[in-house]
Amino acid sequence: MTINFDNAATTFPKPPEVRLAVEKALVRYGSSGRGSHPIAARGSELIYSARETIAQFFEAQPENVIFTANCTHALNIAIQGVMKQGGHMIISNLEHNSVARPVYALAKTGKIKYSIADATESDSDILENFAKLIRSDTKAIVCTIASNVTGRILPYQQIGRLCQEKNICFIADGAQACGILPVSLKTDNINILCTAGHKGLYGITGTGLLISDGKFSIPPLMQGGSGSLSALPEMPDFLPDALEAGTLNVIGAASLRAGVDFVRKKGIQNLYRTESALCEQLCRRFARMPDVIVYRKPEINYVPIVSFNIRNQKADQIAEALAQKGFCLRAGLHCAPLAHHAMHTDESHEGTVRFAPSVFSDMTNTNRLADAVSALF
Amino acid sequence: MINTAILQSETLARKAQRILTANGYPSELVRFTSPREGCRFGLRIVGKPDEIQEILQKADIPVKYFGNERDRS
Repeated sequence: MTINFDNAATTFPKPPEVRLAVEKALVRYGSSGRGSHPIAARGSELIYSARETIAQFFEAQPENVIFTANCTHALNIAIQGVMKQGGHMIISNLEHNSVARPVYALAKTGKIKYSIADATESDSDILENFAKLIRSDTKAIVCTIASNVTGRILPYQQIGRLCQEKNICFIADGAQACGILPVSLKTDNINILCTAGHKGLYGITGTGLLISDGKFSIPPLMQGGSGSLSALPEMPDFLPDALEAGTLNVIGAASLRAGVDFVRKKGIQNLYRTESALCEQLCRRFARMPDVIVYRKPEINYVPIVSFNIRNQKADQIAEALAQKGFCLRAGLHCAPLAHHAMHTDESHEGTVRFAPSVFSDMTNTNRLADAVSALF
Repeated sequence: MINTAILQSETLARKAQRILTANGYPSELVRFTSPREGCRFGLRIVGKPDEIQEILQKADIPVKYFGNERDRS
């Protein structure tokens, strides 16, 4: 028996529709935008159709949908692009290393300055914490929509509004939110949305997205073949070509289109409700276990993630013991040391254990997991 | 009349193609190679040029070149 509760890293298994789309792509599509012969043309048509599906899902324009290798890749393009001319930026203290490291690297070269806003308090406090760090040279706020450690949903729509009022670029990390919250570029005041394709959107690994509203210029991170204006020595300056150097992952795009269709058919609200019910059940069971520490507060909203620990045990030991019983949960710092530092879980337990269900998780196995945890102390 | 519209990118050509089809103008996607710029993408559309251009304009699709086949050759 192997039960996956590590879907915040990558959803597993994938829906049958996604598996079929990948199988079909392997035998049907060539590279896109690299020719007018039928195999390449089918690849191009597939890519555009995936852009359309994704654009519709996030309320954006198809030409502003950029395929990337993963969310980290998308965030690097956004951060390094928007901050190319230098300036100041603000991030939250719940950011993943996919945000924290490129920001730190840019700051180390002296190119930019950055501030970190505390995002562990109430929504109004978080908003105030961001607002008071804004300076005359602040160019961007980068903020996760939901923490990958605790699942806490940040007040991203209000942060977006604040950015809009101050003419600051709002880059949102949707890795843990897309496919589970109705994220929209149109209504959420997001200028650049970066997300993974292989988590809540149920695409395969090696897929990510950068979706722009077109308001802020993003110079390319990579240069190379774009299939357009190929006689010129520079990358084209229009989207998506400017940010898609090299052959696109056509098979990945096919999987992502099928994944987004799957989420749309299931209904985001239904997915959120079903997976949240599993989290609530686990928390109810944990509430009867005095040795279990759950990192959730009743007044705060969460995506379906529960971070927990057992008193006097290290997170890795707990996950290892659960793995021996067939439960796959991720323990440690989850590549988000800032968040663990803010929660003091880095020192107390060397991180947390993270429960992250998907649409394929069920109540029976959630209860079995609670039984397994109760047997560990 | 056969018209040729050259667009900024293949993505915009496909977007334009979808919009024109929805408005009753089926088209053929074509790839051109210009020695000065390299690969460009466009559409071959049969219909009234004014109407076609108006549809593309309303959809905010920038057109690099629009003309009939004869002008182009």
